[in-house]
Amino acid sequence: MIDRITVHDPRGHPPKVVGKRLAPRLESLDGKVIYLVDCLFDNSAIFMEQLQQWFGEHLPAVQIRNITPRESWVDDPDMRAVIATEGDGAILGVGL
Amino acid sequence: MALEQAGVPTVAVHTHVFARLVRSVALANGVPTTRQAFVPQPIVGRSAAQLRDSIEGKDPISGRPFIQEVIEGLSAPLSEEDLEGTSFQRSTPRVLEPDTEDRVQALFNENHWTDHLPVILPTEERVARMLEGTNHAPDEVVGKLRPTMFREYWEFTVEKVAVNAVMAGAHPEYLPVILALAASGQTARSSSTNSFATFSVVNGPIRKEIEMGDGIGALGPYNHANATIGRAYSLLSLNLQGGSVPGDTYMGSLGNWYNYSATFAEAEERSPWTPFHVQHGFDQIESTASVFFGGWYTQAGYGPRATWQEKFKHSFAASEHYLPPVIVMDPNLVPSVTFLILRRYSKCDSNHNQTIRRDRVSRGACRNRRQCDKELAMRRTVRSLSLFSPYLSLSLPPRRLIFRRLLAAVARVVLIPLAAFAAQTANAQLTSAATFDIKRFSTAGEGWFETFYVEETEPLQAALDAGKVKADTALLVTETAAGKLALLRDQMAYHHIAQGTVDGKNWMATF
Repeated sequence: MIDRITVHDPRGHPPKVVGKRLAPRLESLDGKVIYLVDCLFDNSAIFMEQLQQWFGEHLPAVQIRNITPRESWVDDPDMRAVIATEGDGAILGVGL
Repeated sequence: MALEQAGVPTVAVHTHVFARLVRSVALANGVPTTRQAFVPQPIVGRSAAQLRDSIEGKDPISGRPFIQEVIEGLSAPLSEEDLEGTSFQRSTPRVLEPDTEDRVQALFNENHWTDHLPVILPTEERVARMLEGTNHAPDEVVGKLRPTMFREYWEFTVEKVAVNAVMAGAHPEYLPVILALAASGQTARSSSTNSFATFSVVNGPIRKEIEMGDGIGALGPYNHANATIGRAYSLLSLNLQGGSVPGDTYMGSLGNWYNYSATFAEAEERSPWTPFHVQHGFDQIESTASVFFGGWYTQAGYGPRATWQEKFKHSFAASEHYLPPVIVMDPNLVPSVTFLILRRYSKCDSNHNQTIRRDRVSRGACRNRRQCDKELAMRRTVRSLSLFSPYLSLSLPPRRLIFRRLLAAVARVVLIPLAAFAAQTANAQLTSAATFDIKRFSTAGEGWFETFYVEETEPLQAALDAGKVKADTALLVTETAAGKLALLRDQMAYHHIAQGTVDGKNWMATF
């Protein structure tokens, strides 16, 4: 007969997951204000500059605005308020 | 997510190695299908042209054009799943299905519930025995942990801590220390590209009662209590926070050996310093556990050809001023080092109206309020956590030892004193550009480097004669409009940026 043992599960207790809806998408980007959010990682500013240039060359009808949070790794409610008030969409990026 | 909740359609751009992590974080936030776009890692070190190639190339995860993912992420209609989100309840059982010992060991290893070394399996009998080390109820909630600030908190009880203590091989009398560490809210298995680690120091009578190591090899694998308490802190962090799995809940680039086990006791009786917990407002007869977060460099070696002063300089040159170093050293060295620290420790006061750094030539108002605010906030945090301990009586073992939690971000801040000086020469052929605006450079390192403002200079020969600099001191020499300017290498290794004015001409140097 094989000896079987009963052991405790070592894991903690995860919280309940509550579903969240995404924001409604835009029908078209033409004429819309899209914020490029530079998350302040190394080189992300240059990435966003290149992305801005791409939009200028290929989709000039899109109004691109660059914005940065107050500092890295910290939520910036003021920046979010600006985007929510003045923007139609946002592109965030980019990490290491 | 906050922008999406505010009604702003958003696309997040990541490098491809974060794909699995992004999915799991989104799911844990109740959003099964967030709009993401991926570019190849790395971004760091890439030229503008290379980054443009990534933008015009394919998303390495979806295989579709990156820019298409971005545009459709903002404008493609949402699915029913997007609109509803995902709600579900997760749970973990108290005990697992019975199985053979070998299979259970394999299960723990495969599920990433271990540090991939064999563990003591937490049978019901062993856990019950471990719980004899505390008088707190097994179902009492101890606290919650998470691997990063972007993940959700997981909650855990006294029994869950005991389970992980068994796995680490700890004895029941160690449980109060392990519970205190668990209650700190600071994980020992954090996730950051920097591969951070957490180490802990135990003070007070319990050090001796459980025979912790504070002598030879205190930081090494030479003491049962040190080894297993540190390992228990690591394992409980791993399991009670929801994991520490590469690519999912762990993204440290190199990893860190301190993540295995890093706990020791302070040699209070042999140190000329006031015990750390007493410095933070506790009584010497109280027992505390202090947690330190960070851990990039370990400076080793004290050979016959290097003085401790040189080692100190090298160590601090490698330290970031916004993450001050923690000094752990042999008590034999402390008296001489303490002299250095007390003589040179400096900081701005809370009103920013007094700059008392001795390594600066400048006097008067603080020039770097932002950094000082951070440092002051850090000091306030340490103080407030020392006083506010919601789990003061969490681990009251039968012998009435009071166990307290102390979370410390920094132990001692030491700045090496160095002075700037200039070597004026007759060669003043260079001229500065007429458009040079010194203010343009003064914020170049704001938030990262503290600019060194040189307001006084003197001839190099005068500095040599006065003994301010030795003949073999390493210098960095730069050309300015007024001639050659010499800066101490070690000082620039700390500041990285210096600026000033010589003969009415502005100059700036980076290193």
